[in-house]
Amino acid sequence: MRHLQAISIGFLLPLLLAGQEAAKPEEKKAAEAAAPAAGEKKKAKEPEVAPPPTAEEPKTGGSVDLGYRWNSDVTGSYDTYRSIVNLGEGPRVLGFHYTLMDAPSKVWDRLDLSAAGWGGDPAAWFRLDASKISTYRLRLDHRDTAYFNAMPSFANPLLDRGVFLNQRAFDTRRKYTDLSLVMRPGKNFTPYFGYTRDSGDGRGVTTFVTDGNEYPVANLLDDRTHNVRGGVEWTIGKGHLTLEQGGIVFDDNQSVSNTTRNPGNRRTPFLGRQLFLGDLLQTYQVDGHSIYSKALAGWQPTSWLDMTGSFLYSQPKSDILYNQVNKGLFTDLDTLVFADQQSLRWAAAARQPHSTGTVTAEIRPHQRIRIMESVFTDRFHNSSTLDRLVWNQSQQQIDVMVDASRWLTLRGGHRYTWGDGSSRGGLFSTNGIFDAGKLRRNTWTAGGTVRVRPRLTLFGDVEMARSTAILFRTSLGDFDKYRLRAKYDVTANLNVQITFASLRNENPPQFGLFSLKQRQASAAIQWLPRGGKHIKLLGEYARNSMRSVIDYTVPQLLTRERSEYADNGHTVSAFLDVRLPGAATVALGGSSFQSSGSRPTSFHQPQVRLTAPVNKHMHVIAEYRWFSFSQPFYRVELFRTHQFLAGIRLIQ
Amino acid sequence: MALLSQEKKEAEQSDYKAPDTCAGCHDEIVGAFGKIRHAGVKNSCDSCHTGARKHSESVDPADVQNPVKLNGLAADKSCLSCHQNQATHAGRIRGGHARSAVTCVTCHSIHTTAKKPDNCGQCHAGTVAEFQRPYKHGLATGAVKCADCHNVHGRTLGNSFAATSANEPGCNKCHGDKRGPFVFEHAPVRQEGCSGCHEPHGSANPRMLNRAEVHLQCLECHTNTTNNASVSGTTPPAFHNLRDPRIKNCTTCHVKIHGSHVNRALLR
Repeated sequence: MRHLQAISIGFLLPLLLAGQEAAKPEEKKAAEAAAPAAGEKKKAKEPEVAPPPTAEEPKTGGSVDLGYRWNSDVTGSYDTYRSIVNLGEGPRVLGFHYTLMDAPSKVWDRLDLSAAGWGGDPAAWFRLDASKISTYRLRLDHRDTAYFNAMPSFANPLLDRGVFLNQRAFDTRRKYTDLSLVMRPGKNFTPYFGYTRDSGDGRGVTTFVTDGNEYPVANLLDDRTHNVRGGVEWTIGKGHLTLEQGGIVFDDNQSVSNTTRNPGNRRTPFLGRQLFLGDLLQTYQVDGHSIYSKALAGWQPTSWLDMTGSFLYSQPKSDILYNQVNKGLFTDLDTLVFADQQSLRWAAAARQPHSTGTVTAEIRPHQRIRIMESVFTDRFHNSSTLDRLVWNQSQQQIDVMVDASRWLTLRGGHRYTWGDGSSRGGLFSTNGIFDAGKLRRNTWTAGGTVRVRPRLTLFGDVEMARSTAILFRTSLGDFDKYRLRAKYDVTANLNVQITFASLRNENPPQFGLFSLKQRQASAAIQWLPRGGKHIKLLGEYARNSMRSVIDYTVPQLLTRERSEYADNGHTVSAFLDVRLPGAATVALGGSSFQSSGSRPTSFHQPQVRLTAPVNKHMHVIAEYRWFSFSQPFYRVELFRTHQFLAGIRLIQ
Repeated sequence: MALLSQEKKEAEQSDYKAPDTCAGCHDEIVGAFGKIRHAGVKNSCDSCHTGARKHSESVDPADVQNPVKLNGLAADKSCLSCHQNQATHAGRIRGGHARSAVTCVTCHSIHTTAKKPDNCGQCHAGTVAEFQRPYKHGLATGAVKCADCHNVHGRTLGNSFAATSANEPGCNKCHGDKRGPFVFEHAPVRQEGCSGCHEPHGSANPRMLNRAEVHLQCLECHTNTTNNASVSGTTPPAFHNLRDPRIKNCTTCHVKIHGSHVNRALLR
């Protein structure tokens, strides 16, 4: 890791310095060009002497933030800290951005480089965007993300016994790289190519399950996916066609192992004998591939009609080789026979053709009326006969929008969604081998936008749905949605926004009880006096509430019980930037989340940051942050920590 | 025809030339404009600001069209006169932004490459608040962007997610190990999508589930309380004692909950 830090800092610094040196002659030219332009600015109506539009633009520029972070000892659970925050100590590239314009090589018109998080932070990324107008555009996006999760409260069967081992913990990294190259952008015929690699590796804890007992064991994770694609965007008169062909190759090689005597979660004897796991080797080798084809088309046959269509088809295939060898003492619940060794070797395959198509049209019969019609279908099934999974969903929607006046837009529409699905049913399914589900839903929408001049805009939308069939008992059946939003520009520098959204679902009795009420209200303010020159204030408060009621049956007693879930959350975020004398700035703020209900949670993260210039090429940065997390039901997961950061910003 | 030729004649005689003429007053805008791909468009200012020639002579704002101040239909028309033929437009009519009359200029800064601050959050303030919860996707750290998961221009899939690679939900872009196809699929993963169980923006649950506890999430379907033949999810965990904490934590045993290659009960 230290090598990585050194490499990343070593890479960025020379680039920044080289950019500073290389820019000097360009700056001189720009200054020369800008000099007469400044004098001519007042003669705006004399276009023959107007300055070249880009004369004053810097050719290169950017900054890099380098820093060192210290953490105080974490009070409480370090695993929880890592699961939620995971910011470690040490040197970091906190942020980097650099723009190169009109390089002498003329390879690009513009090159943007940006990066952050390098040196060990959980989210590190690097982006490159190079382009030459009408010639090419190249984009590279690389992300290195750490996923750590070891929370005793999650799916821990031994929590009540005071055992705080998480049996579903993991410590992994995912690396994602995406490269895309568009040739001749903006031209009528534009070929493009792309390559994406997504991989993950790491370790964790998983559960090895046998009859009568289950054993937490070490797990090694290793998967990667490659996606290669190419296509053309072709503009033909008032039409457009995009054709893309791509391929995916993926492999997933997991292995699970155990070498010591493991008693598992059952601590009592089973039929007088203590089950245990000795040696275990369980490996998965999954290889898959998929060829897909994609077509998108647009056509404007007349000035009042736009039509688009799309079609995607893919046929992913997986081939699996599974090996399992376990030693210890096991039982088979069907025969009640004990065994000291099991060995399994399976091969399997999965196929799942998947196609999606849409056709849309926008009709403008009058300059104030817009009618939007769309039809969509999505269909897939797997190739199994015993574990058949089928899902076909379609939707037809029509929306009409009327610009009644310059300040009022009204809209309304109807959506019909239908689908048919089936999957293998359960042991006690009354529907035969397969559970078949249907979806039949009518949805009506209405809304409007009112632009109350000069600065107030109101938005409102209503959606009402009624279903005669739904696929799952927790699918939304009969629901009403409301959304209201008001945006008020009090002054050019003060903006206030209020939003309210509500969802209320009450499924008909024949679908089983499922009641869901969700509400969300938020207010936001943005105050930038004098364009934010000295003070910037951003504030937001959001309140979310949710209540879900659903019945379920306790199998042993066949009695009905009710599951009620409630969550009431308050979130406050605020940031105040103040410019101090000497061009230093102090930023105060943070966010706070407080919820009550089924899982009360408090999460606070205030921070203060000071930035002071040393000279025009260097600023010093100091930052303090505090993190606090607690859940009254799971006090073992509480943590608090202080975090300090000091660094410099190099500017060119 | 005579009118057209007269206009053409006037245009030839006029000193007006975009963007140089415009830069006389709007030098900051035109200066920044020179950095972006729009700069390559011939008569760039006039393309969107109809009436720019007249405005250059009268200096009256009423003479020139400003797409930001237009209503939805007119603003879109201004941009789509060029951008109609783009792949991003294919699913637009199906998208919520089109239906809610959110225009191109609401999100896009036309004159500069600088993105508008907190672009999506300007309207979706409640969603931004969800990212302040303890477990969330790394929007604040730049690990993900809204457009990684959402197709803001419009959707071709049946939900609000962007399609990645082939017609797969955008979640698979990073979570490739959940892609499948699996020999034994967990039907809701395919049919309801990831948000059937997960709250992707932020949650108080360590796995960003929609419910506080795992078993409550699972029980929503696995309850057998309905006899309606058209409703799936009637699978009861028959031999499970739901009062036993060992059994209550479903994913302790059903480890391959997203789909398994070797076990129908998703145990391995």
